Amino acid sequence: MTTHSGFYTWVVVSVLLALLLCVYPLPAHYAWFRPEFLPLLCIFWALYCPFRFGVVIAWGIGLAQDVVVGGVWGAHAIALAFITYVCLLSYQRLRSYSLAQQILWVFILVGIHQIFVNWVYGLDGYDAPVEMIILPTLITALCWPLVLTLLKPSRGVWHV
Amino acid sequence: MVSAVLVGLFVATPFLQGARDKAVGLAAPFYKFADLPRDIAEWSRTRLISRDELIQKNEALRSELLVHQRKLQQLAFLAAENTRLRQLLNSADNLNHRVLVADLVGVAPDPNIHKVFINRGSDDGVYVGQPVVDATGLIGQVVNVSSNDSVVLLISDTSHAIPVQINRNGVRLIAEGRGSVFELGLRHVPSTLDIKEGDLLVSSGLGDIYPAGYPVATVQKITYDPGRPFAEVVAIPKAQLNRNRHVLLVFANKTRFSFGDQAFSAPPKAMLKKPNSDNVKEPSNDNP
Repeated sequence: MTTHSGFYTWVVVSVLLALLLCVYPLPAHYAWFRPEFLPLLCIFWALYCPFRFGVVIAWGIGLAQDVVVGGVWGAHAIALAFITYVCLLSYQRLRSYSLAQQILWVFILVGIHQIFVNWVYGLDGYDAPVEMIILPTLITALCWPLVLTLLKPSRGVWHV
Repeated sequence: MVSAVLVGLFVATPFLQGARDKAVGLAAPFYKFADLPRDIAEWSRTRLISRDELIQKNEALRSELLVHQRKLQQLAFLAAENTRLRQLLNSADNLNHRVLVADLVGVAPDPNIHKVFINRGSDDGVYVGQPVVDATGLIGQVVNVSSNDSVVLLISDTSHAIPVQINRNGVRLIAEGRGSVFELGLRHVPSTLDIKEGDLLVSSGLGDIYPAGYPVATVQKITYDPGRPFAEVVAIPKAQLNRNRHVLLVFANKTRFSFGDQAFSAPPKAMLKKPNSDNVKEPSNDNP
């Protein structure tokens, strides 16, 4: 049981850190380059701890992001829940891929995430230019090795 | 499914307004924490400074003060004259609104969403719909208020439009946000309208949100296309939307702004001028 609560503490801490990175002030010109860390976290937890991390937690994390970034509530929630669901369906296959293939998959998953988010934002009257979808997605996918090296050791610590 | 309901409620109804106001209080700590490095840098810049630099700065400020004082002398005369003329015209006589200084604590991270977080809330008398200005022009309006923080929608947000008039001839127009902090678009400008590049646009006071007379933008470019019914006009906002650290919340002297009838119970803490408690009222939608 202790390992369980340890795992969830770890999830909460990493999510709080990612939220901080989400709102870290960037100059206006670099705002497009901000990687989306929360989808990366959700993909990681869904791939490597699929029995403890689920769609509901991802939805909660997405809602937290919506509240913090001040966007439309439910946008990131639905997007994160969806990509977590896809990851949970295919974690065995994705885990055995090489790093380059994983990056490609992460690119596609984060792209789906961006499309969901922008679709919901569109309902509220914000039109997103194409680079808004492509550029952050690309940068986020390139951050995947970083997330792997940072988070993989935690699996040993929490026996997950 | 839950998301769909939530999004629907959020976009289409004011049902979540109370929760959104509360959420501002939850979100603000993240912005404040993320802003800590800059705070430290600013602190060290103001505290760790050499004596010579301080003397230099002091002198520069003194000369600047002198220039402003000279302008102020004229202003007193002009203000008196203006009041007399307005009395002749029998119109409302003051443009002097009470203001409250607020610090900007965060900027919404999504480049499409032009909202900023400020460190004043309903405890300071801030209300939804309150106009926000800086030293050079209008910035936007308050859209969510929690007890200690609030969210300001900038005039450059795509969901925002502001009634303006050309300062030179008083023609009324609508300036809408285009999702860039460097430009606003003017809607429905007839090709025959008397508008020139460099014209100053000031808030017209229509729409009951912004008080009249605050500078909003200057006209930058006018494109006449014979194939289109209206001219394409681009204006640059006067306010420095992307580089402010301090903003001013304006308490406009209009009771029309109040949504409820509850008088404001505790006097606001940090007013520059004390408000009349009749004029500052709490929006009723704060109550859950």
